[in-house]
Amino acid sequence: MITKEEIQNYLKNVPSLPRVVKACLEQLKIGELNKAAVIAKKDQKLIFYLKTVVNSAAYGFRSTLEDEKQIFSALGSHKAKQLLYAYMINSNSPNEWQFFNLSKNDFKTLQMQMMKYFDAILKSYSLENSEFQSASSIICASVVVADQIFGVHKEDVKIIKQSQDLTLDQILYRLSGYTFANLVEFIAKLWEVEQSVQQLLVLSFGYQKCKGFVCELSKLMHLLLFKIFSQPRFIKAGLNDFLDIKIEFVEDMLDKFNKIYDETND
Amino acid sequence: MKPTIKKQTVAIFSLRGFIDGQNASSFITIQDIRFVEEKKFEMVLISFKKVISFNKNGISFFEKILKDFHKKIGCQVGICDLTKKQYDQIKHFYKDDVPFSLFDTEEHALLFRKEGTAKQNNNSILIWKSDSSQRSIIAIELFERGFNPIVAQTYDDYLKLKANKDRYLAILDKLHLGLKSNMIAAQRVRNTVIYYLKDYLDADILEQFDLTYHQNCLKIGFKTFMFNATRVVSFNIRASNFFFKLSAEGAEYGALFAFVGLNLDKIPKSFIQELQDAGYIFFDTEEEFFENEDIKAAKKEAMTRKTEKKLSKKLVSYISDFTKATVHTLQIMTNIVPKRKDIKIQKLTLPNDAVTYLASSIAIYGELEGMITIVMEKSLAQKACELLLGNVNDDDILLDGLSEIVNIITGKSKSFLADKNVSINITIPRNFENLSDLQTVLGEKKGVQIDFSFQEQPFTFFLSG
Repeated sequence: MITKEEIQNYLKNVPSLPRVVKACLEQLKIGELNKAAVIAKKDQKLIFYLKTVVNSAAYGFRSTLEDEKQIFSALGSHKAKQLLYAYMINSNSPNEWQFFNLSKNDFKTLQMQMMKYFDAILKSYSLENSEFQSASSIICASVVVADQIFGVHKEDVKIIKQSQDLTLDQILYRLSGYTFANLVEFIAKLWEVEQSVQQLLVLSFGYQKCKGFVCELSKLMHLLLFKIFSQPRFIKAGLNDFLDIKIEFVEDMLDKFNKIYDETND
Repeated sequence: MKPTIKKQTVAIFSLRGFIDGQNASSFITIQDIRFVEEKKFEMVLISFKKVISFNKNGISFFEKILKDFHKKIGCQVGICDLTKKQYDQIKHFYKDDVPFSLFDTEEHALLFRKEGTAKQNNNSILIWKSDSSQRSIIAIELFERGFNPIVAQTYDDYLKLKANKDRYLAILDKLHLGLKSNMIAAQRVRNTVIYYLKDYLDADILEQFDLTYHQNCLKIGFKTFMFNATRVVSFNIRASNFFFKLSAEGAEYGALFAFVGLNLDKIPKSFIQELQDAGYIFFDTEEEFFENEDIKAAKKEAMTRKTEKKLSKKLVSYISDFTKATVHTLQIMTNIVPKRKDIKIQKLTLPNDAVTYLASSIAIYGELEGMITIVMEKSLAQKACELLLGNVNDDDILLDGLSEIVNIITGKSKSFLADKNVSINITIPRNFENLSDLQTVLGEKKGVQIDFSFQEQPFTFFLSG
């Protein structure tokens, strides 16, 4: 089964940001959308990904966006960063999922939903154009990481779960001392995500008591994860019992969350 | 979602997140329903511990499933791990007439298993319900399982009694009993299996008595069986025949049967005479039974029965499947690769009697017959149970964890053997806190003993006939 050494080796092999993505993010940090677009053009896969996403129904642009500069300026710097991280995670997601019963397309849907609803949450705090947007795409890395770590141990997990209702996060912690919050934090640091976003990501797993608006955002993120994991397709995929729900952590934000979620659906 | 299995007889579905009419059927699928029906669990629970919110449509779906389980396999059904708010919400949906049971915790739900878990030192349970009929039902159900229910008649009484909360094994004030199992309750106390009979006994006893459980108890070495009949009105010839059948079957294992508290005036004299001829002994109270010198002597004598089953060549030929399952399971649980030290055919012999050992046994039957016993040091048991239960110091919890591990080992062995077209069944595990009880059960039996070392901590696997 999983050991601490195995996780440490896994972390050593997490890919760093590719040159193009890294340069692109640097330009976005200083608001240079045009320069970012020029750099992005060097990675055709990235451009294809961005075109597919921004021209999907979820974005609702009136006309098809073809030109890279057009895409970046339509997105704005924070939204573009969110999509660059989503691209990174998507391109590191498995073609054949080993642990979860997911397809490439299901995972993409998961990412899109996380981004859509978390954007709505940020809007309720008037933060719709902020660095926190990236958090919703980066948190999806936990699903990829879980599949990569537990894929070869699927049968062992079945054995454990037969006699004890443990989440993958609990199993991971008891065996290696790591949680998915630690692993996502590691990836966020490696990918040079802003400190405030790293803090939000770690808090979103609900292990720490907190206060302030970042804390509120993290509670809403926690609820959002489980709202999406409660969809029939994701329950069937096995995502519903992958992280531990911290009800006491999120209780005070439930009404606010339901209101935002319902309004986004209307 | 596959349910978690507790004590081999309880299936628990643990739901997570948001529940509504649209996603409810994704939590418990048709395959899961079939699994539960095939395994014939005695209790099926749905845990709401990790449920954030739910609506009436979601609950209605589970109501249908729970009712179907009760109808098809006669099990107890309910929802557990409910907060006060969730409990009130469900009661509100049904205007207080909830058709299934509601429990605040899983532990409280498990008090109502067919097999009671009352202990000798503290078995008092405080009950408070404003509904007097529910109060009585709960008290009766607990009494039948060997507990001592203390019912508060008013809320003020309850508050006064609750002030001494250390006096109680549990305090039940957020509980509703809905569809109950009509199975006869059982309890294992001081190496005796006690069955709690009630009302008028007739042919229905064949349905209400869990014969598999009884046979399993015989197979794992229980020798004394008591029928607590203090609440029996009378019985007819069908029930009487049933008791003869049990004693005839038990004779093969050297088992001893007794009735306690049976009102002999209400039973035809001829039945009593025939039951006595069949070996049944009659006592007025449980204490009298346990203190009776004849019973004590008979227990001892029965322990050393002459008809010990021997280790068969066929069983030994599959030893690799059993050891593979054992090593693999222990390796997952401890994250340690064990070293095999010794393999011998002998009486169970442990390296160092001074160390605190815990043991668990399970009997197998079907195409192969025998008993698997695992023995390990307490510290290794703690390590092995850590993954399932976290840090555990309480011996009772540790022993429960150990039985879960034995269940996993035998479940795995079962699937290895099934690949070779060999079909076996397994009994419920029996735990041993001290090795003298285990050695009494195993007697002079020889078996295959394999000693392992888990980073210098000894572990013994013993396969006997």
